[in-house]
Amino acid sequence: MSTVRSPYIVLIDDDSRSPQNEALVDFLTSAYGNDRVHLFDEPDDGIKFIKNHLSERIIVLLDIMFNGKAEGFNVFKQITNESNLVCVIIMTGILEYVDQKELKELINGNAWYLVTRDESAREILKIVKRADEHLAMRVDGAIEQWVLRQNPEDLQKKFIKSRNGKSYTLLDILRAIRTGDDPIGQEMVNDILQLAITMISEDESLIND
Amino acid sequence: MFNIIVVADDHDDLIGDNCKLSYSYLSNELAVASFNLRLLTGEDCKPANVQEAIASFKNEKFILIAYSHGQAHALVSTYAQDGYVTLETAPHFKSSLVYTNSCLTGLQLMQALVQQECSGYVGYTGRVRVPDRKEDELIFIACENKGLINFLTTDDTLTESIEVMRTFYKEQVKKFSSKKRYFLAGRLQRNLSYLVHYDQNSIKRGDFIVDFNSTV
Repeated sequence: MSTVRSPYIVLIDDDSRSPQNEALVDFLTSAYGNDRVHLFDEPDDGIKFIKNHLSERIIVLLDIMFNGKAEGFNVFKQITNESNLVCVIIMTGILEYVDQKELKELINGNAWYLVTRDESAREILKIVKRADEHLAMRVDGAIEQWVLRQNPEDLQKKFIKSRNGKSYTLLDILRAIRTGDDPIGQEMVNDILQLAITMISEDESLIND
Repeated sequence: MFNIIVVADDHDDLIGDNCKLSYSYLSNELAVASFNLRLLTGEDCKPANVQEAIASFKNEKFILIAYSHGQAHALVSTYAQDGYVTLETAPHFKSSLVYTNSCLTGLQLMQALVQQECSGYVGYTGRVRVPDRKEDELIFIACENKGLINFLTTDDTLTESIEVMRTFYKEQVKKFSSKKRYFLAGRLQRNLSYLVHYDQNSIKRGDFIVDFNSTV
């Protein structure tokens, strides 16, 4: 039986080792282990890490303000352009100061949670744990894991074709699941869910015979 | 004997092999040699050739079997991108049965054929996807052809034949699932969910038998 690895927790904050973050990092490393918690002061380094670890579940804690600029919005877009399966928790100061247009983009871009910086480390850990549960239950995430377990050569081969003119490799499907740029990704997620519903509804196992 | 037109777009870059396999499967399952068969492949998959084949049946009933791409409004091929059966040509299919594994034609083309009093139609309302691995592809093809083969080899009505087809689909879904091949099981189940048919008057194969001694 295979064991499920903990997600990577990626904290991107220009002052990730600040006293304010110290308690949070302690909580996170206690819960997920030192090797699973990664801190980045530079957004580009954080994004690079995420790109290199897309085959694993990732939860990002992302600060909005970098050196006085709201750079976090741009970082958020770059992450979600890579994959919608990365769970991003936005950390911000006073919510009223956040630009409304950019706030709207965060919500529409599926930011998973918005938390203010004055929230306690214990509360933020709870939110991270909920994000972890959320990721573990996602069918698209499970499909991503399945695709990535296949032989690298098989990823390049045609896997499925359509009688109205398109064929897909497993890599195409993976891309579609991560970015939503082609309906095949969502179709496969729905297929698996529908199949599970059918199998459960036809289950004839008895509790008491 | 039956008047049958088979259109198999075997020149298509993507699904040409699948169209060829579909026809080859059909000819293995049925005694096609005993049909008055007009087989259109490659460059012949054009509307003019379909019209010519229909005209050759001299107003007798016929069955059109189409293995090709499909759009909501038309059956299309490599050499007939605008369609070899379209909303405009639907009147030629009065009293015929149209059976296809193409994508999407169950959306609009089916309605046009019904309005023109075709006897029956079997097709799909969504994108029919098939696996690329040959042995899996053959199972999908067997499902897609099941209704037609049942219709032509038994005294079941078209509706009863489609029920046999649905049951067969479900059995194959279960087989894939039992082998833990969930993607194929899910995909096959989705294809099944797109399957639609129209049966004008509980048609049976006997309705399509043509007495050639009386027509020649």
